[in-house]
Order: sequence, then structure tokens, then C-alpha cells
Amino acid sequence: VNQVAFARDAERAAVDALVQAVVRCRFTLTVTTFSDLLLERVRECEPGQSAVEYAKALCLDDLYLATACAQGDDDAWREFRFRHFTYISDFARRFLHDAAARDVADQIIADLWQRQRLKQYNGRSTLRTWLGAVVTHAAINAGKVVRRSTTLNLEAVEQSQHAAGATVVASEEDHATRREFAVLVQRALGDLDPEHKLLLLLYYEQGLTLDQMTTILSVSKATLSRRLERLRQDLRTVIEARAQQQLDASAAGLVTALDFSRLEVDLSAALGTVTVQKKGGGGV
Amino acid sequence: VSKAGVAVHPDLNAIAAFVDDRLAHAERVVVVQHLSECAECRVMLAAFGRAQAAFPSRPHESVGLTRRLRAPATWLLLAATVTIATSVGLLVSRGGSEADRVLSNGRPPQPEVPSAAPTAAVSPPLSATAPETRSTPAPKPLPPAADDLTTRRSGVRQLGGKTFRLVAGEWVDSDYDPLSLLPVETVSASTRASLLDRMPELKPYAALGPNVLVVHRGVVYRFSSS
Repeated sequence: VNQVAFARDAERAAVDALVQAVVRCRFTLTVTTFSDLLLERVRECEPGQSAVEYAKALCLDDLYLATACAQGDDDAWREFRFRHFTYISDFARRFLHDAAARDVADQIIADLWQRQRLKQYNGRSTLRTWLGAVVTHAAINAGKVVRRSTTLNLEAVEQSQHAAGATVVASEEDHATRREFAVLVQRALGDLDPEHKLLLLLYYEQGLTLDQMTTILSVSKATLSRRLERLRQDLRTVIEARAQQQLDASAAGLVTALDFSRLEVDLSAALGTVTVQKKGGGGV
Repeated sequence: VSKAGVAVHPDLNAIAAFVDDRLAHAERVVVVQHLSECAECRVMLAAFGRAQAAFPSRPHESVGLTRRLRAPATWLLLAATVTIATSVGLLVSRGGSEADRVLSNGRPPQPEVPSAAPTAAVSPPLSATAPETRSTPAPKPLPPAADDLTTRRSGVRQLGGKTFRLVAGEWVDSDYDPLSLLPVETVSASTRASLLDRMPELKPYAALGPNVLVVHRGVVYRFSSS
């Protein structure tokens, strides 16, 4: 019992020291209270984890501000308002027109304050990024964002093959071959590991630019470009090999006749056969 | 991410942590797996990416910076730079000590070797020096007076437990961190007196000069001469 108590005291002291080193305790929320909350959270969420390691992974100063706000500290709200209100409004304006953006931003701020939604922030990201996610979520829920979702079906892939300029011979046999080829493309895409699949989906399905992808994937533009290029090459190789192996001679001839350099276009069409659901005005 | 075998969407904290690249490897794998399968979450992530890319300062950059700072190569480079800068600074500081003495004492520097024995300056054997010079050791240089030039040269002041550095004509509190985005209150010459009446504890800092930046109770006060 003594050893457990000693370990707890040591852990408590370590968390206190960490908080004191990292956080500028400028509100009525004291180091002790904040440390208590952190320890409580670790026991709730990550029972087996060391509290110090857990706390080290957090944006403690942002969490301190959010916690103080959630406790109704006026000074904390003043700082929060100064640091984040403009960002919330500006971020909302990325999705919406001025009036609608103001409505959404006001609603978010009201939620954060009245419903103490700030309590939901857990410090795993910066407060700013979390607020960005909150605004995005609110804008989508308000039905103001164009939804793009993939309906990857054989017909769509087949049509995309057709549209991409694949060799078109209006015969039943070739029609069946194209269907089989579409299946190959779909399977090759399905066999990708999730990371690569996500990369392709963000690029082709969601239509993000490399610049936009760097903001959410924390990878440089050059690296993303290289990865996409390598992915396209790998896919080409896989599809070609499978086509040669699985399809019969005539189909193999069709595959050979296909211009594989156009696979990028095909992928774009295959992954980008989007169902656009537009609710309300505006859009991203 | 899954409860009782039913896949649920990652919450906003997880999405934000993914964007900030702060998830542990195992957590990231789960989130990526979900994102690659869930169109709804991808829509949200893509919308976030589009909006975020439009901002000049993006959170991932600061995260990236933090990560870059964690890299050993970066630290080695930084350490080397600091060492070189310190060495150069010391050399410059020593080289300028004569000028300091002129300015602080108001008299020309005394040659360590009498002018009567100019050759001794080249190779100063003890026997060649004048007897009075040997008997009375050369006076130590006086500590530089805190006149304006010296202040600017040293560029560091300790005041009330705070350290101020002179940067581009402004005394900047070392506690100031632009990335912390604290509220900034600009105090012009006209409002200076009223603020100091209201907050007399800032008077010593404001007395440092016309342009002072001090962090006090979570607020950055920027005293400006304009």
C-alpha cells in the first residue's frame, strides 16, 4: 500500500512539475487543480498509461485555457476571445457567405460558452486545429458543404474507361472484357493499404490539391507528389500483370491496346465518380 | 473507434490530432483505416484541408517545426550556430573594450607600455618596462557606465526578475513568445501615463526606454514612442 501511495505521489509531483514548466498559470485555475484534472482524465481514458507521458503528449497550455474557460473564468474567456474568435469567424467564411458564416460562428461560440462545449477538447491537438474541425463539422451539419462521396461501382468504372478513351470496339466480347478490366482496377484499388488508398481518395475523389493535402497529412508537397506518382506506377504494373494473367488472349490484346499512361485519368474517373449532394447555398 | 464491433466515426479530437500529426502510431492506423473507408469523414477532412490551406499560418507548420526541432540533425546545426555566434560575439566584445573605456572614462586609453619604450610593445620583456610600471600594476579597466551606447552594445537588462533584450530599438521581454498569441495591448505615448497610473507595477519596465515590450499577467504590453 505504501509503495502504491508513494508511486502516486511521485506521479502527482511529476505532473505538477510538468504543468508548472509548460503552462503559464495565469487564471484562477491553479496548477494543483489542473494537475488533478489531468490525472483524473488519464485514469478515465488511459488507465494503464503513465500520467506524465500522457500529459507530455498534450497541448497543455491550450488545454489549460480551455479548462479555465469551461470553469467560467472571465480572464480566460477574454484571452480565448482575443485569440480564437476571429479565427472561428474567418474559418467559417471559408465555407459560407458572410451572413451565414456569422450565424455559424455565433452558434459555435454560443455552444462553446453556454453548453460548455470546450470541455470536449482533450488537448490532443492544438486548440486552434480543434476549433477548425468544430467549424468544419458545423458547416457540414448546416448542409452548406458540397458532399462528395464515391460510388465505386462497375458501371461507373466501365463508363470511366469509356470516357478515358480506352480502345472501344463495339462488340459483346469487348464489352465483357472491359467489365473484367473494370473489376481488375477496382480490386487493385481495394488491395491498397489504407494510407495509400486515403491518399488517392483525397486526391481523386475529394479533388484536393497537393497544397491542401499537405495541411491535413503533415507531409511535404514534394513527398506527396512522389508518393502519388509511385502509386500510379504500382497500380499500372499490378493491373497490367493481373490482366495478362487472368484475361484470355483477346482480352490481353485489349489490355495491351490500352494506353496505360492514361491510367491516371482512369483513376481520376474511377475514384472520382462522386455523388454530389449539395444542400443549401455556398460550398467548399 | 469501435464499440461492440460497430465502427463509429473518430471524434473531432481525433480528427484534429490526425491533422496535427499528434496521434500515436496505433491510433493513426485506426483513424487512417476509418478515413479510407468512410466517405463522410473524408468529406469532413477534405473540407477542413481546403479551408485550412487558405490560411497563411497553418497549425501543421508549427507542428512540423516542433518535429523538425526534435530531429538531432537540427539540434546539432543549431548548437553549432549558437557556438559560432557566441565565439564571434565574445571576440567582438573583447575587441570593443577599448572603445568602451574611452566612452565610459572620457579619456584616451592608456597604453600598457610607456611610449618611451616603443620597442617593448613588440616584445615586452619585463626588464624593458619602466620601474614605476612594474611596481604599480596597470589599473583595471573601470566597469562600463550604463550610458546609452553601452546599453545598446550589451543589449540585455535584468529587471524585476525579467530579462529584456534590445531588438531593433525595442526592449523585449524574454518571456514574450509570438507563437503563444497572447493579447497585445499597444500603449502609445499619449496613453502611457494613464496606463501606468492604472498599473504602477509596469512603471519600472516602461522606464527602460521609449519602446518596450513586456509580458505581464498573460497580456503583452507594447510601449511605443509613437
